[in-house]
Amino acid sequence: MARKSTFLLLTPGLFVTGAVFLSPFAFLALTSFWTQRPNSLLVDPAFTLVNYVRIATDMFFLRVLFHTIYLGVITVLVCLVLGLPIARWIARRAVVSRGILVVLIVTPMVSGAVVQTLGLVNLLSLLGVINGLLKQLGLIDRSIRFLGDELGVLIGLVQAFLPLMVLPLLNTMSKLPEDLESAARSLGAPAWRLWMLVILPLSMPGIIAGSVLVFFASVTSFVTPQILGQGRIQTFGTVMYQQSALVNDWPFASALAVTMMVLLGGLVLALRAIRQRLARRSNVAGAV
Amino acid sequence: MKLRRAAIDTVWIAWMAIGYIVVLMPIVVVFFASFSDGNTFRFPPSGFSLKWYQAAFESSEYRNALSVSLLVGILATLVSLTAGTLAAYALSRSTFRGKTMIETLLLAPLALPHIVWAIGLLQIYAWLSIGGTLLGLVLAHAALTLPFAVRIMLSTFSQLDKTLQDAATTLGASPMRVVVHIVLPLIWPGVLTSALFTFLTSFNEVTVSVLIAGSRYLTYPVRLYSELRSQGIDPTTIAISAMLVAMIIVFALIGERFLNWSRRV
Amino acid sequence: MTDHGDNQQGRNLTSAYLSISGMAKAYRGTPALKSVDLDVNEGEFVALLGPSGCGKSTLLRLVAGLLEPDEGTITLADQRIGHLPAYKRDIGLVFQNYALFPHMTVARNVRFGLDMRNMPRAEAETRVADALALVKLEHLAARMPSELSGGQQQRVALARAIAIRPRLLLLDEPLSNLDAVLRASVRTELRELHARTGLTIVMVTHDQVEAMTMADRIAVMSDGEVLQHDTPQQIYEQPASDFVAKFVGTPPAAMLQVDRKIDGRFAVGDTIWSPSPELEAVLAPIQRVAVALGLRPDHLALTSADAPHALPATIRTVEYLGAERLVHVEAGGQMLVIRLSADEPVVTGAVGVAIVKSPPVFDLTTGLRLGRAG
Repeated sequence: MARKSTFLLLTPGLFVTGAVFLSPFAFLALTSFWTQRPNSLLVDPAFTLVNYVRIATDMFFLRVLFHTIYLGVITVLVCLVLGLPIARWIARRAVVSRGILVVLIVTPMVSGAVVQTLGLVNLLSLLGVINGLLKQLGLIDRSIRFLGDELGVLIGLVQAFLPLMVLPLLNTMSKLPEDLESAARSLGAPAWRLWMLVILPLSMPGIIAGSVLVFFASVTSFVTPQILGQGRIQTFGTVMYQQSALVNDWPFASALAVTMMVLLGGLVLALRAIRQRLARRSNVAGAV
Repeated sequence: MKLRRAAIDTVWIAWMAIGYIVVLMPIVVVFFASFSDGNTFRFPPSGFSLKWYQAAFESSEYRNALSVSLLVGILATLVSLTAGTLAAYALSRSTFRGKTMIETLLLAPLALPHIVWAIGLLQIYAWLSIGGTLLGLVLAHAALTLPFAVRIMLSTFSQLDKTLQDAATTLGASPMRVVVHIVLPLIWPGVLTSALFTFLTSFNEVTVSVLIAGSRYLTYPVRLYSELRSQGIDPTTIAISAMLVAMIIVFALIGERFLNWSRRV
Repeated sequence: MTDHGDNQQGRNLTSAYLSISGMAKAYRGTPALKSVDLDVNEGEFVALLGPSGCGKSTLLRLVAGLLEPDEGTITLADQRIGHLPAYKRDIGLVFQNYALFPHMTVARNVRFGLDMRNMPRAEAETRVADALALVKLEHLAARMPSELSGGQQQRVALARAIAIRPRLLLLDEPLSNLDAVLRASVRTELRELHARTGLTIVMVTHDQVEAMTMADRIAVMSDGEVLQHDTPQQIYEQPASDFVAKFVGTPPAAMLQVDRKIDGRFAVGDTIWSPSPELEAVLAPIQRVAVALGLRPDHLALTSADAPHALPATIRTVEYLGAERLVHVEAGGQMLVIRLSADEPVVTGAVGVAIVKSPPVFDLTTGLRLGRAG
């Protein structure tokens, strides 16, 4: 194809990605060094580090940051614990039910975040399904408060992002050679050692991919903590939203956003370094 | 031994069931709640009624939000499908330096956090004063959904044999007729898949829309979001949501059955 | 430099039906074709023969118009077609992978080119039926390509290319995707088809047997150049270069390096050797210190070691091929192959190799033919 027509065909896509998707990131980086004039909608475009100093010194934001990461880690762990058996079962045991099990697990991904949250509110509210059920069974007399509580947000995050864990797990676990497991079993390895020595190490790529996806999604999520947290649970996402939509301090919101990008970017780079080191080590082991 | 095996399986399935219950319960609850006859949702429901469905069809307010969502979804799909198909075609039919970089660039929105983007976009839109406009919403949704279109169309074109186009050309088909008679008939499943996927993504989008949507162009998810944030749940929205989810599931099943979605995406 | 064998070249360029001249094409600076000239007469079946990467497919695509040349002109039936887009050239091309449109029936595939010419339906249907009859596939008209065998698909592709009554038919490795049994039968079918339709055909192939058995003339290509364009017999017996000699024939010609000593005697390796008077007459006028003889099995005979003019040699292996045997011998550190019929006894131990027919002589460095007889 001629160079000119290639360029012409790429133009609309590059315009949309470049102008609409990438330019806001550049804009963020710029405005994060600006300040909002007090009691004014105007921005003071003079270079300053004041926003970053505020993030680094204000205990509120540090606590929110820590809490966001904490929620992300717990979500990843819960998703792993729930996701591994599902992925393993679909990969190895499910034959007829495979299609339906996969469709069921991805249903929430295609049916929309707010609708899910709507259902969660109905489930978790004081007069909701869970409390109602527990009362009917006589297990509790007073409703448990899920909404506005960490537990509710966690349930919401796991509900929303478990599919992101299962899909990469399923992908790697389906490709594990079955002979390997038979071999380990024929050598007398009991089930738990089979898991520790064969299945989990070989599923590592999927575990890492799924964990990264879930962690990223939960630390940047905003609808779930906002609604299920009912303003009582603050995460980086909700604070960014408040700063830009409610407080209208856009430069500060920018600085928060840039901080998050930098932290996530650092995490990606660290993971890549670890993966490279692991790959090198396994290469050496393979050579020996 | 056999008994032990069965016991392990039972525990295993029960464990899996927890995961499935967590994932699916919200949707199931929405379905059940939509048939409730009370003014607020509570469990156990006091009775069965279709009155919220009736209300859903009568409410002009929601009809408005749904039509905004529909409009934005259709326009965004048109933009991102066109741009995505052209770009994917160019990428799959030529080689040049920086091709991988452009591909990565086009797929970047899949990996970058939407909330961060939205905060930047909000500011740029305010600066260009297109915040809260239809144009702003459509562009944002197009940018968000473009990588899906690009990815699905890339895999579609990679399965399209280039020699078929050459063959048609040597048989006397002009470039336009090659597209009409050969390329389009062979790629339409991919086009349809990416159109539906793009539309669904746009239709369900909330994170970005909440920040940039004005009062004039309020999409249905944004409406629902603000309702959940403030006024409490109107059972009418439960009925509407139940219908939407049912429609989406039917679409997904059709797509899987006829277009092999799970293998394309 | 090119086309030593093409006597018609240069006499009258426009007399050829298809005339390619000065055709050059480079991909990102790497030349794929370096100024190629080629003439094809009307009704001729020409094979472009060469190893992969020699530029033969590039040449074919340039003629079809699927590639644009960097330089050069193409004339077809006295009309310059270089500027015409591929879809206006009326040149049929059968692709290596057949390239049948998977969403159309066999009949629709064959009719495609006619539809593109806006031919009235009734006329088009007749043409389709004729084309399918020509490849004996009338009964499969309603099938989809995926329901056909490889051989059937190829014939559909052929019918589709012929249906447009092309001014020129190009075949890109037509036999390479077929199994060995089919290949032999399709070879004869294509010859028959050529005879029946009178089409001018240019075929690309890397298989010298295909080229030798099917083509009226062969253009041997290497490294973006046409080395020789001639009849199969000329190519086989009078190769223009050592490359052609080694590429054509089963087994290929062996190159025997012959050195000329200061005293005028000849040596093969360390062995002083006196060639037969006929061969000496060929070698004598060539003023080189060393030359290479292109020796095919039919140039050689197995003799006793002390026979006059024989090269002392040692038998290495004997290949049994039913009606004949190929004897691999080593002479002066170089390998030669001799053909023996099944009943001739194989001498063991020290033997001699006699050169019974004057072989072509090549320059050691350029590989070009030297001192051509005739």
